[in-house]
Amino acid sequence: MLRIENLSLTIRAQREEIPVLHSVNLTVGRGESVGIVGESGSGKSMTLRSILRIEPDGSTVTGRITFDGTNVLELSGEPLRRLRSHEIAMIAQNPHAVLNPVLAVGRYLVEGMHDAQGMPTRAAKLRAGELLEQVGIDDVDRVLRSYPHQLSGGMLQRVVIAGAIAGNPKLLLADEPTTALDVTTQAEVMAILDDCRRELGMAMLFVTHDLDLAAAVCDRISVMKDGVVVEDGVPDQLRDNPRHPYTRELMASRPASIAWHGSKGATA
Amino acid sequence: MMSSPIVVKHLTKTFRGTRSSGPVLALDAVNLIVEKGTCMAVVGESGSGKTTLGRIIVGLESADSGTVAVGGRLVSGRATRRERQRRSSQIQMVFQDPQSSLNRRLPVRVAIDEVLRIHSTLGAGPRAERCTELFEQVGLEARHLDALPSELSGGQRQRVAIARALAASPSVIVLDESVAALDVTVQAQILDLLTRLRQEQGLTYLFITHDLTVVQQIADNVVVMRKGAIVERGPTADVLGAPQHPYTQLLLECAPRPGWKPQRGVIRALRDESEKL
Repeated sequence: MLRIENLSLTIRAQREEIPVLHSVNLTVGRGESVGIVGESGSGKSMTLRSILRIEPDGSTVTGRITFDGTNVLELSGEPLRRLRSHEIAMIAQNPHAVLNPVLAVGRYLVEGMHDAQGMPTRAAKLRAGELLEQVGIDDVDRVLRSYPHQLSGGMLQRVVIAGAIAGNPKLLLADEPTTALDVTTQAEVMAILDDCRRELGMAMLFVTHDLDLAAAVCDRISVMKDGVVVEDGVPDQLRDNPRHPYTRELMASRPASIAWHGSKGATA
Repeated sequence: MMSSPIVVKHLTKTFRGTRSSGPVLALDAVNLIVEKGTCMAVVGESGSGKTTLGRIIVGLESADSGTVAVGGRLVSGRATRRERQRRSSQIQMVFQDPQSSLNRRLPVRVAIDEVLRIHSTLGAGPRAERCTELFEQVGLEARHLDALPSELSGGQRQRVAIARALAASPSVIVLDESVAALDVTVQAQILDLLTRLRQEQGLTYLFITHDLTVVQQIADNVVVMRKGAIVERGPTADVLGAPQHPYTQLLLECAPRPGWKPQRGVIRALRDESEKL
């Protein structure tokens, strides 16, 4: 469905050309979940942004990104807008950057559906409630009436996920969506994201610095360093049998010897 | 008898809070003893009171009631200038982001030299030598002394912050999320450095973190905080291996690890159970 071939990207900053991506290859099949794991500066976010053509101004992009057979790099105008509103959705680390601080959360969702899908306002209102239930929110009515500053980070990220899945996109791009959250909230949001994805049959490209986090929700993982995919494989293989020295270094940096293997609740 | 480097008794602190939240109880009668040469981790989520605890211990904040003794000397209320200086030769703090605690216009040497001027009687020449020595101890090269903070990587800047803390020759260092902003490979290097320095110099650490993997990598003992109170404490291996309190179990359940699959039902059940207590 998504195929990235030989993607290279150079950013221009103060007349200097900075190469960011070098011949990146990556595929995501229909309904498949793929992770990109890397540290800061590895190019993982930039790969994600190129797919929606939101790379920084003045960047030079070469290679091919095809989505359902169309070369995304050649799109502009209405077809590009359609790709962004109907086919591919994106969530990022900071929900505040997406939500309008002076709009109640309900209106944000309703306007989104109205503008992107042309859904009548009344239907969109009903749908907004359903979406919030889907992302595990109990007091839907209160949340719909709330403004972003009245809600916690975990709640806001759920609202953003609800907005992202509203149009039934085929692919969700997730750029460190839980990094700013507390660990227990992170775990809940990850579980919700995974459940939603499976229920909707939506594919996901999940970017993170945490290999175990990616392994929890991804079928395959690509490890990136300095703009290059150094290794890809299924999570177990990367963990048990890493081939590239960098993947091994990543593993060694986070020793996994916590003896705890689940609570009574987890085994029941 | 030698007293423990940190003894905290019945420490309580309330913040005024916002109009909608009302007063917030940040610390609720917290007791804590850290033994010499050990690393005590304080683990908790945002709002647990872990940072407030650290800030009161180093004297950046005052408590409403309770006592803090550092190196056997009682510390209470708002410290005088002299008292603060005396305390800072005993206890130092390393923050999450050294970029905000280093002057971005001055070479990092100035930050180290300033501490040496306050805490030693060394002249300019010996101070410069001491700067080089401290940089070597934290794995930096002498040439890094003349760099601006922006010319260094995140890991290097954190090494500078550690060197600056060491410049005061403290016996205790409070580390507040000191590796949280670093990439995992750099995190591992800084944790190794901290452990080595502790062993070589007999330092005592209070390590504040939200990250259980980091706790396991660095701490001898751990206290788990939730809503201003310590809910569980003990040797790291015991607390992480056989957690007794449902909140500790929740934290462990939520920590990403090999083979982990977060499940809404399990998380919610543990959360409900820990709220009840």
